[in-house]
Amino acid sequence: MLRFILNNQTVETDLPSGMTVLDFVRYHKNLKGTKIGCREGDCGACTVLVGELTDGEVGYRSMTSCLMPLANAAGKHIVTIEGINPADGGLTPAQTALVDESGTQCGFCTVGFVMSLTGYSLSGGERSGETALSAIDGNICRCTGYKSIERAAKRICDLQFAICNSTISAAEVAGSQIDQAISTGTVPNYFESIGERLRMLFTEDSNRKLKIENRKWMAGGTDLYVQKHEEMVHAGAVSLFDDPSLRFINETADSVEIGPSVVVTDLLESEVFNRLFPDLYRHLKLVSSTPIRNMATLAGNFVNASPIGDMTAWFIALGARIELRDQFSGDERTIALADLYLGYKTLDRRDSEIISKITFGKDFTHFNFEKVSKRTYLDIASVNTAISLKVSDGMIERALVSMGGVAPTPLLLRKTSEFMTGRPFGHETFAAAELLIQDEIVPISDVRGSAEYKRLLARQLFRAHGLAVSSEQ
Amino acid sequence: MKYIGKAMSRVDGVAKVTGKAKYASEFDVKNVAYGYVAQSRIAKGRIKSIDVSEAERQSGVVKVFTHLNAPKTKSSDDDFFALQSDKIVFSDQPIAFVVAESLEQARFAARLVKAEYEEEKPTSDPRSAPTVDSRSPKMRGDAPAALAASPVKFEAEYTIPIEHHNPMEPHAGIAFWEGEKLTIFIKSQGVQAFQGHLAKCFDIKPENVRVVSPFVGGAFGAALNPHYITFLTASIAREIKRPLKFNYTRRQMFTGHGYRPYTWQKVSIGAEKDGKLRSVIHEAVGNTSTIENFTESPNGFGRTLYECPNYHTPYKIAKTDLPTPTWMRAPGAVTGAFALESAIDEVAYQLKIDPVEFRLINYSEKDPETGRPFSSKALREAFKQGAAKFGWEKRKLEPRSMRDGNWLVGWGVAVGTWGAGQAPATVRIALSADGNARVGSATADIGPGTYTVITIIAAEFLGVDPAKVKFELGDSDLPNAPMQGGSITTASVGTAAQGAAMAIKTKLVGLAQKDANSPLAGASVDDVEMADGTLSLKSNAAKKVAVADVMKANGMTEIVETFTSTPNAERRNYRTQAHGAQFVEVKVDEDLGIIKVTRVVEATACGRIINPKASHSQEMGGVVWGIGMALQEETAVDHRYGRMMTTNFATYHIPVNADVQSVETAFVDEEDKIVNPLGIKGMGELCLVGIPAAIANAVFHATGKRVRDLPITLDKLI
Repeated sequence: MLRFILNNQTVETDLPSGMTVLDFVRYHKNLKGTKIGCREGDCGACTVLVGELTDGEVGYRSMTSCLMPLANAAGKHIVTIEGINPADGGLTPAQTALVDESGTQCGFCTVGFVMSLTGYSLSGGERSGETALSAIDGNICRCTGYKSIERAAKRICDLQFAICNSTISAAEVAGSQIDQAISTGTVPNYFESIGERLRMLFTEDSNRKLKIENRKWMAGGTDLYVQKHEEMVHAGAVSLFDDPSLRFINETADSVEIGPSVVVTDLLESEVFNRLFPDLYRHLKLVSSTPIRNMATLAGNFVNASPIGDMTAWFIALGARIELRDQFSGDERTIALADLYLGYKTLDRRDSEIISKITFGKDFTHFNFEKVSKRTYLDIASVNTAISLKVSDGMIERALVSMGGVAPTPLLLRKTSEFMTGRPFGHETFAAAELLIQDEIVPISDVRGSAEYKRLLARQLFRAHGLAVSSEQ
Repeated sequence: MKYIGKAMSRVDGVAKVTGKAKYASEFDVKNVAYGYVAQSRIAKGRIKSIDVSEAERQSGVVKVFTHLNAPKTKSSDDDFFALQSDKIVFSDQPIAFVVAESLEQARFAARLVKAEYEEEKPTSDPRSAPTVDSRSPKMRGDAPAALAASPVKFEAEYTIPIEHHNPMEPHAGIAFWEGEKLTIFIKSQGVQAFQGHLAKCFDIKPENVRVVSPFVGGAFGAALNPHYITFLTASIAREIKRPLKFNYTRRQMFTGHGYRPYTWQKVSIGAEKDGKLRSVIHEAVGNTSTIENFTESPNGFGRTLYECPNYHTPYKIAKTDLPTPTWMRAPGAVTGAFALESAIDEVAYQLKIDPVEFRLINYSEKDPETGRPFSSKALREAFKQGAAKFGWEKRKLEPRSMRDGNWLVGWGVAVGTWGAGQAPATVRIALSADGNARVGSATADIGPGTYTVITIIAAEFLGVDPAKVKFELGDSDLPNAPMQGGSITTASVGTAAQGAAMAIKTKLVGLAQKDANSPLAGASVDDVEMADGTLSLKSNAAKKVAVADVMKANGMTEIVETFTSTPNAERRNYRTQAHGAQFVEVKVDEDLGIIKVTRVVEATACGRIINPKASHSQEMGGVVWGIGMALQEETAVDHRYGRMMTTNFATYHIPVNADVQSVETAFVDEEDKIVNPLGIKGMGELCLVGIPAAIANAVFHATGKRVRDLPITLDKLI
């Protein structure tokens, strides 16, 4: 029995936990405001808000309901458009702005935009024209040309915070996000009680234990539901998404430990990551879209083993190590993330093992991430690459360079990394290392570019690393 | 004018932002079953055997239909119909239709349908497929001879890949029968065209078919034809004697409704050294299927645009083992414009003439085909306004001459044109004594704002507040209207709405004048103003009578008038075209080849603008379509298997918000008394036509690299 709050109603269901939230709301609850555009998390027409208790407060994030299993809705507040439409037949500020600015044409994507903008109003973080636009980076519109929607987004910024043009932290704005959203008519009054209702649900469900007899695991679902939507519904996979013991970011004296179910947005909102990676926002904005970043876990990205996983390239270059825990025996072992990959989609992992911890050292002095794709945002990379360096006294004490999209697996460029290690930090080392890369990569021609072009990208992106890390000094 | 020309928010906006607008598959119909199409693995051959037993055993499955037991069409049209025989003519062709209690069950069971095939090698590459000549207009002058004699010669080839419409709403519908009467809710750009199609398929009277489609989640040409799914759903609903619903998946959207064809074009231009065009030979080959001959007019695009005495446009189609293409936004025109407007740019460089100047040198003052005048043509003004807004005079002629740090900057221009069409249309208006008006016509609103624009026109000529007008569309029971395609809707239905409102006014004036003491006595209809529920003399507003009183005096509570508008005969003495000038700035990363369209200025001359708010949005949407076409969109085909490969949003890229930077749209004043009484020309296709060429031209200006094969991806620039 799964329990969660759907709009203003507590629901209990015995439907398969692998069913998507999208199918549940449309076909079982007859809530047809949530649209089906692609079922692959690319278009955002099915965006819903997901409220979750963290540290006693309800925090909302936008997610694509097409990739979200009911299992991951348990104990949470799921909000569809029907849950924010004002009872008096009026409109919320986001809805008003979209109508006034001509931000809706055929209307099919519109509800997704309303939900994303509402999610933006409910979420923390900086308020600026740029962040308002980021909030709708996972929504595709085929009619309007986006300009009218942009105007609406900026109006939401202005209306609610009157600070669109200056960046002010939302924390400086009085009142909690939810109280404020209620007062501006962004969400109905019942949102007030959701925290308390979720706490009650949580207490009642706290005895819920993971069943481990099944060897199928899933987390955010953002890859699995694209690849095997039909199978997942009845697969009975156990979700690791909400296990609090798998969702943490801890800093120790010399390293950072991360839970496998941490999602990309958690990194973006983490003080530790923002401190260690000054370009975090710029880099992570290149990774998928807001709703997907809200759902996609690090471990999921690692075990999906895409040769061009963005976070995989990122963590390989950090020299990350992963702890694998056998769910039956409890045995644990730790390996380098780069060693997880044996061949195309082949892992050094037993079926019974899950990634239980990710660790990387803090002693790097420089880090950079680069990605080129056909479409700048919301796209899979043609080639991605990351580099971390530990430099002291003008010498590279340790270099790690990763690259994706250039081999059947995500690559740690071992020869290039070894070559750089122990050499002076400067242009000459980079120029010499650049030549080694071509021997380490074996790109193939596909829809993301020809092999030749990818080789060229590899060289150019490595040069971009050189420029980026030298400007950091 | 009180409402026409003023910005108005969309009347259907509230329904759309609250999720209450009902799209085709969202009508509540009881006892509905779900259908799901199982598709062919091969592209060519025949089904040797098909086994549905496992699929039929699944829980919830009602019945599985194949060519062995599916109903057959009675239509003799050469449209493709599914499950009619064992013959396979394209990959992903339906081989079975699984009906189940839920969509999920139908989808699951469809995977268990097993077919064995007798497979033949498909030819999906148009470059190696057999071609047939298609009809092309007569050659103007003697183009080959004039080309040979020209002092300046140019020749180049251009290709455009297959592209798919990808409206946000996948095709969907619900069909049910009540006795011999069929009702179908379905995504449609023309409910009455669908009605006619179904009547033929079942050999029943059109009045026994009702097609309903009040909200369409985008279409762009994808829902002009009924395609196979319409008859399939309707006929199987009759077999199972229950309502039946279908929903395409995004992947099925790539094989279920056609696409913009692959096109190869060759443009040969002969010119004088001063830039005057002597000869254009614009050849084109587009792909079609083996079962239907789909044609458009890609190379006809420039025939009226430039003053050139010798013009030849041979056109062929290549018969490929792919599904049949269909019209996709600005069909033909945007294809031809990419080639011709690129070639024009190339010749301008060859002669070191500014590309705007080059186009003005060859500006056609009257239709070069017929010698007839244009009903209006403010393209020169569009160039002027667009160039001024863009800052074109600061452009340096040489490629690679402008730069912004590591980014190469390029400025390009191109022209778009689209015929200002109109078709017969009928509108019925019922005006009540309380001033409310119900307006109806069987047109569609696939997103441009038809609900709103017809509301505005009706309100204007009825003299009532738009809030009192309720316009209904998307129901085949309503008065006749053409399909929403070809940018003719506002000109056609708008003219009929104006006519119906005028007819009501005429009727009311006549009724008022039955009273010998009427303040309007002796006045002609034109002397009378109808506004805010009152009829008054234009010459003396004090002489007036309330509409409600006139109705009351005649024992009426409402007046109903139906008006059919047809294109006026005078149009035949003119060429009626809309035009636009499009200016683009791109920035290209010198090291990585990343291309960004940083600025677009589009100046459009398309007659009268009824609702500027919706029109600007429509134009911007067209610009973004152009960005997609130029830089991203491509349906890749694996020619080994004749299969379309990029069948999802992850691999078929359409622009996202972050791809779109500054876009400015402007409408040039253009008064046209010929096209129709309101001077409406249409814009939904026009706004896209020149953009891909303008981007390609800007990329050349930035990089010195001429990319003649769309899309212009990064790897083509390095």
